[in-house]
Amino acid sequence: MRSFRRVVRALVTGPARRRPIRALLPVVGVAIGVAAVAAIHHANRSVTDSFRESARAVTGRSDLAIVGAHGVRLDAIRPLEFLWRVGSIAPLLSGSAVVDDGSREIVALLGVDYGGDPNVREMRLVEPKTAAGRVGMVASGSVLVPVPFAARHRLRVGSRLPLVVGGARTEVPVGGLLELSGLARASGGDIVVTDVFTAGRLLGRSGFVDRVDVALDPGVAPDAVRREIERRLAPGTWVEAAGRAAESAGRMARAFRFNLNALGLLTLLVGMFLVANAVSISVLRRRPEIATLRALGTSRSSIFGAFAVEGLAVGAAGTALGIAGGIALSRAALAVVSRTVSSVYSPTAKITAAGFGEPAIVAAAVGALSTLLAVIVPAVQATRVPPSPAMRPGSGEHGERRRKRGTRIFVASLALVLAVVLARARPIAGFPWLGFAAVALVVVALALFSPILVRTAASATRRGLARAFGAAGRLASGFFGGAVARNSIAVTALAMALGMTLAMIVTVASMRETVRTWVESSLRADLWVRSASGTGGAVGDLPPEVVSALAAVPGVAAVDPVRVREGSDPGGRTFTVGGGDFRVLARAGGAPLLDGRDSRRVAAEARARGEVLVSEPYSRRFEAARGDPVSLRTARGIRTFRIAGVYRDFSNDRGTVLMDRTLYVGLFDDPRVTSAGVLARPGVSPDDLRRKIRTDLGGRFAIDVTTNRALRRQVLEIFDRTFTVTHALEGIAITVAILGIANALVASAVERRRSFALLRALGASRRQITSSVLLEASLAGGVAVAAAVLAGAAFAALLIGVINPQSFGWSVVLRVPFVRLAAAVVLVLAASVAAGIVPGRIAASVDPAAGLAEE
Amino acid sequence: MSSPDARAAPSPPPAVLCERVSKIYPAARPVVALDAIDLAVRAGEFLAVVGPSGGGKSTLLHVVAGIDRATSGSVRVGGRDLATLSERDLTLYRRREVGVVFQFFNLLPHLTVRENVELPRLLDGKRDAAARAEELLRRVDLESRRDAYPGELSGGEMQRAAIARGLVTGARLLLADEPTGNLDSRHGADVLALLDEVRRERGVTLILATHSEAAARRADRTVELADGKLAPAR
Repeated sequence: MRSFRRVVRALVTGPARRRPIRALLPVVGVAIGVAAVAAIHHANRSVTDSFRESARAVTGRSDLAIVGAHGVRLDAIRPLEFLWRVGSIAPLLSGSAVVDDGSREIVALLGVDYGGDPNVREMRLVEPKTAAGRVGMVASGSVLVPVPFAARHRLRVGSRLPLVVGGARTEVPVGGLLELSGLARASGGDIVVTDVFTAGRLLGRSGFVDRVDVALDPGVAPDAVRREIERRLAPGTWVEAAGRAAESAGRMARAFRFNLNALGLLTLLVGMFLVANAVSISVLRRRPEIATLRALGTSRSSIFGAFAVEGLAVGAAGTALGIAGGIALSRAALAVVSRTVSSVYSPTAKITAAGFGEPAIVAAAVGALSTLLAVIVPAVQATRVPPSPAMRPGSGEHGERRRKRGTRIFVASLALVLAVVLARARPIAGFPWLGFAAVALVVVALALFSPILVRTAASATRRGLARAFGAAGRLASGFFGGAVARNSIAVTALAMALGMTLAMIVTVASMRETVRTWVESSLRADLWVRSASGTGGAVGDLPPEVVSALAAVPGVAAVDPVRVREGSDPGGRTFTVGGGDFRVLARAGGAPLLDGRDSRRVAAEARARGEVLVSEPYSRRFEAARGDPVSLRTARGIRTFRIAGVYRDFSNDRGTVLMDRTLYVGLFDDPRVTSAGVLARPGVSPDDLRRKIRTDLGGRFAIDVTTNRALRRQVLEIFDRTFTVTHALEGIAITVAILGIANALVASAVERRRSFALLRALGASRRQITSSVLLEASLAGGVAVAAAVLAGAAFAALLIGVINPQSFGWSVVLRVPFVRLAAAVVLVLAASVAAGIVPGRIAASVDPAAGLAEE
Repeated sequence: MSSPDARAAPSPPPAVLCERVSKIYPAARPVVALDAIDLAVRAGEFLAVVGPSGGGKSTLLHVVAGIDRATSGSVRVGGRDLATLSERDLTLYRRREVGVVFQFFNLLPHLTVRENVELPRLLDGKRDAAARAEELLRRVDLESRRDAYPGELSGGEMQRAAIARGLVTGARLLLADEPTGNLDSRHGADVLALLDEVRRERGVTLILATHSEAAARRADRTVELADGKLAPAR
């Protein structure tokens, strides 16, 4: 043990003490990677926890839930009264509302049964405190709000809370305040609770509840009760396990979160290369010491152990620093992610920060594991240093050239072939695991090809650089090709980070252009009318009367009432069900079909035949194509329809089944409207018509009227916001990779002290030496860019052709934004050159006499 | 060695003139590497500097080569006092006016033999660097090894390449610091013969620091440097 400690001191701690800055650089690389992983994991964890917490707060301690295609009729509860003998039942009606006090805060509106609920859901009243006050509260049709919510909106018992709900403005009295626990924690505490009758009136769903939760007494077998309930249920209603809502909430935005995690890991992967680079530099620099130790009888395992200790120390320090950085980063990441989740997945979602403990443990584990992996190869290399030749001055990595070139090419080609095979495979459990594996294989191929690229670039540029830059150019290519192992690791890291960035630029530009085209072809109405939220998104819905009111406005040619809600199939798989007026679709178009047929004709035929359209994500998720049957749970029981066509849709990734409104209302007893498209008569300006609608309907309905142009802009704004965090992560990955280049060059500058001293002795000026290092940095950047372009093309093909369609169900038309790509490349090249400044100065400052004396 | 006629003619200025040159390395106990050295080397002369290891031979050569500066005294080469040269001019001096051959060959491992040889001339921005390198490689009999890397050469070949590099700029002063120290006796003798030949052919002044008595015997004159002090060779 003592001898191992000496080996560690000779090879690791001693050199680290002598050059602390260099020892710190890989630590910073790992720290940035770990910080990104921790912050992203924390943001994602916060999203899932918030959804689950919210769902659990609503579910309470119920064992079963009775649900229906259009909820459960209140009169359907009467046959279930036997349940009071074996437990408790608690109906729930939920919707959303906007607080109309200028804050425009979106809240969940929950209707409960004050009598049955306490047995199922935890709800603690803070006020009123007296029994008489509580009776009054129930009787008045007032609402309960959590204490923090009340404080924020300056409400107390007796205040009136202004709301926009169900397309109308209303004021409800505050009858009580809730402690922030149990049900009050739903939607992050932004809730308004009332009785089911008041909620039904406000939400325009009188006589219905969404679900009836059943909490069984201890010892009651749920299966028998379930069978009895099913026997008594009306058509269109069914029983499910109470945890199902939480489960479904957990799946929400799964692909989005996974993609963020993947990008966070990419940053860590780049950091891993930095560790591998640092340790292999240590090995190269200390070859003579290793050789001496080996000659003195030190075992290979001690040498391996010493470098493993170094790598793990770097990993541990980087991980600790990264977790601290992750805490600082997490707030920003959470803000961006929760905004995206709210705008894309659920407008009422309130994301509250989860604890940092689990993300810290995960990031620490990932950091430790990745460092361990990064250390293995260079540590094994260290054990292979032979005792004799390495002791000769001037021997270094030069002897390693051209070894294993054939094996590298073979394995890299094999990885690429395997990547192609995996790219063609189907998703596993609806997820592109094999697509991500293909990306990993491209990274492996890139790492294997990198040394060959470095060597080829060094020899290909030898003459050209010497001609253009004289001795500095000659030295640059010589140095670059002379440190293949070190430079190829740095090049791989940068190529990987830049390649992924270029691929994301192409993917995002392609998606944006596809979405823009889709918006143009699918948003055919001149105006869109939604319940007023002031947030730009759809919150709540509108009463059916709004359709006839809109149709009566002079200048309106047609109204397309759209209804969107959650639906499910007999297997319980959930997706979106939509109803729209196919007559308007047949007239104005929209819902662009993937097979290129005219959606107007198809919509007219579908209406006549009672068929449905399905969105592309639905088609991919459930592997359903034109002509296939679709079964839905409706208020009339299970109904099966034929798919008339598959249309392009980017509005959600769950998939949508779209049917004519008449069919929809008949099946779901749901005449309400989520939004309404309005077509203007020829010659009528949309802006004028918008003003007219606001004037004529403003008194009766609380509505937002958006022009087609504004809605398109909103869609693209949401799109851009979604990718903010992606761009930030790419920036971090590139920064870490540039650090890698700087690290490799600093190591070179230090290791080549003797060469620089010799050059100075031969009459090289400081400027020539600095230039040679800067040119070497440019070469590293140039090779990385070339590799990144190739790898980026492969990444982009996998993202656009495999991962994106398999994750979200969206097919994207390729668009290559050359200017943005060129800008990214130029930026990285400039950063690479800049990374050579400090090493260049170190190299130029070598004193020739002292440097030569070191031999 | 010199003819009486030559002695009668007005003496040309010495190629190298060291007057009371000292080099002291600062330390807790300062190390005096050169102690008030006086030395004059004629143009075209072959001077051998002998003495024990650590006696100051390499330091003297480094000071004359402009690689290191003397702590005191003056070193004149071609009439110019190196102490007065700016950093830039000293760099140009090293580049153009002096060639150095080191004990450990000191070829850049990642450049080929030809690239190593042409490097000093390339540093000077000369377009004929490649042609001059070819010519010198022929002269030192390394033409066939021009595309090899230093690691692929024998010690003797490396030292021949280093000699070619020392001459490529057309420098009139060649300094060789233990050039045979890492070679076996046969290769050592070959290298010394080559140094002597090219010196004669090109009229180069050669200062050779060596342990080898055989090497010293080839010189026109030998001086001994021990403990930083110069003494005529015994």
